Amino acid sequence: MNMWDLRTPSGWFFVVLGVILLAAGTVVPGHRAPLTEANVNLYTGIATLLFGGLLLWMARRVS
Amino acid sequence: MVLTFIDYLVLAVYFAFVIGIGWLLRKRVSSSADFLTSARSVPLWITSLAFVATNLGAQELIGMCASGAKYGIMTSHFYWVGAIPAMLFVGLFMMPFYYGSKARSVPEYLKLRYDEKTRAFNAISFAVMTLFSSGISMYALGLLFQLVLGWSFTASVLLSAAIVLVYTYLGGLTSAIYNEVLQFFLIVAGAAPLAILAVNKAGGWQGMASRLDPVMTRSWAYLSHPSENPMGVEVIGLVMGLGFVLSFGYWCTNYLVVQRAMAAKNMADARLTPIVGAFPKMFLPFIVIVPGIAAVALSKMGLGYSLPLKESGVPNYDLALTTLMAQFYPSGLLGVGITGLMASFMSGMAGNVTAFNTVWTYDIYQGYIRKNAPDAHYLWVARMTTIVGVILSIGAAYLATLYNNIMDLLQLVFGFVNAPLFATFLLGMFWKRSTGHGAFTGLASGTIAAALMHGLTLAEGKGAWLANLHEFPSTMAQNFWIALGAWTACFLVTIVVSLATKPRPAEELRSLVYGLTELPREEGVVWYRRPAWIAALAAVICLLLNFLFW
Repeated sequence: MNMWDLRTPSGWFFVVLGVILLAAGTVVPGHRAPLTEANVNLYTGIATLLFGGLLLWMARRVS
Repeated sequence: MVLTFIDYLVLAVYFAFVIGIGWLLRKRVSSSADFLTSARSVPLWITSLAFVATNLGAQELIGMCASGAKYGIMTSHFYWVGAIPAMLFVGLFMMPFYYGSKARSVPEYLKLRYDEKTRAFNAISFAVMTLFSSGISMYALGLLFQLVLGWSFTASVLLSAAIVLVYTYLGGLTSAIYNEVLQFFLIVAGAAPLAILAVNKAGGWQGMASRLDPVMTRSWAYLSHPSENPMGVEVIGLVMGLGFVLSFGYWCTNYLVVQRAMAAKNMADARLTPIVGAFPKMFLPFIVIVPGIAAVALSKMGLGYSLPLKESGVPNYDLALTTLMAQFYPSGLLGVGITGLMASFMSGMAGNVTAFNTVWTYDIYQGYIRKNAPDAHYLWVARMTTIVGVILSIGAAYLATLYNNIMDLLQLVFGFVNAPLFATFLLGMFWKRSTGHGAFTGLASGTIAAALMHGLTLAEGKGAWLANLHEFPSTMAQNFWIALGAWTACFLVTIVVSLATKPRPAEELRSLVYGLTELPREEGVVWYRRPAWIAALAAVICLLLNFLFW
């Protein structure tokens, strides 16, 4: 069975997810949960975006 | 807890991607082997993560966080004692026989090694158990979303089941495995920030330890007597019951997880699958158990957070994870957390459905109903079984709503079946003298011994339906000792009956039994591709984790 590289769709998924979180953290920076002081949407958005980018880079490097 | 547009957007993106993966894979499925076994072509890093993810269902995520809040870091024994050693063992010693025998499933291995009746016993019990496991997982998720989000139970169950059905119907096992990897990443993305935020808020590990009973932050120090710890267990029960019988019974013989390794490209990758999977597995306690411990510490800090109570006034530990999410996650990240929960449910359900598919199609339908049909027919049967499996799982979810104790009962029965099975495999793979009659009688004896032990002992009001000869301090201790009893009965009866019956000729057991099988050679292979070296590294790290939280 011919397989394809899962890193490509996974990478795109986390890029999209990262963009959504980053947008939430940027557009509504003051939005907080009851016990959180930091802008966690922004930080997790950046981390998710980087992870998605890493997966895409690894998939591209192999291909 | 109220979700907003952005949370629903995250959920919608996730649904689109999982269905998209199934859609992209549909054209690559042209035979029953493609659909049911991925034609043994999946890369190592994917099979390893799928091996871990298929066990990371919603019940595990919610249940382990709840156990963290109830028992503390001792819950990590379910990973560092109750999973890692067995994962290393199956990769090093059992996979050469599973993969090398060319069996397509675990029950089929039993047929090759022993006989038809032993396969039938395993195939039928496994098929029934997977459907109930899948249904009960669905029930737990539907109930949680109803309670926490106010969603309709039926809508939650039907929506999630429909999505699993679509992608497993389209792409079969490959689609399930690929999605399990995506789901694994998403579960980590949804749960890891919570662990960091909650532990940080509680003052780090030292801050938590200062607010909690010492037994909550030590894994081994309070195990010399059952009365010393909230689990009500001691070292021998824990190590032999959980660490040996239950753990090895699950990780080494349960086709649900073994199927992922058997989908690997070659023998080396199949052996490395559980071993590489052990690395992420041993660190999961930090994102699934530690938040539960933090929840208890936070509830003592006067921050306005407390564990919700049941009607009886005792804490409802099952809600620890979701209430923490509500306290620490704003809209956006909350969507990721809820999607992670949904993903954990889906990976568990898809695992059950694909394993059920293979066992039904190859071991029951092809084995006993229609033997020599064209492959296209078996592919059709496999696809139809996907639909039927999902419908039956939904039925099991609704059945669970009617009976309060069905979950306890099934977990118990699952233990009855799995614990003796490990003895059957151990003797089958490492003792060429064991026979089909011995295996079948041993399995039946082990299951009966488990039922008898349950009927004669009591724990937390459960069991002793025959007579009360002994009382355990907890149901967990009772389960560990029942498993040990069932395993011992099966082991001994199999040996006795095997010695009294005629063994199969040695030439029929090649590739099936140690001593008659050429084991994979590792000369000239780089160290990081050698299962023994990687397993040793995993064992050392696991030991260090145990010492760190001693």
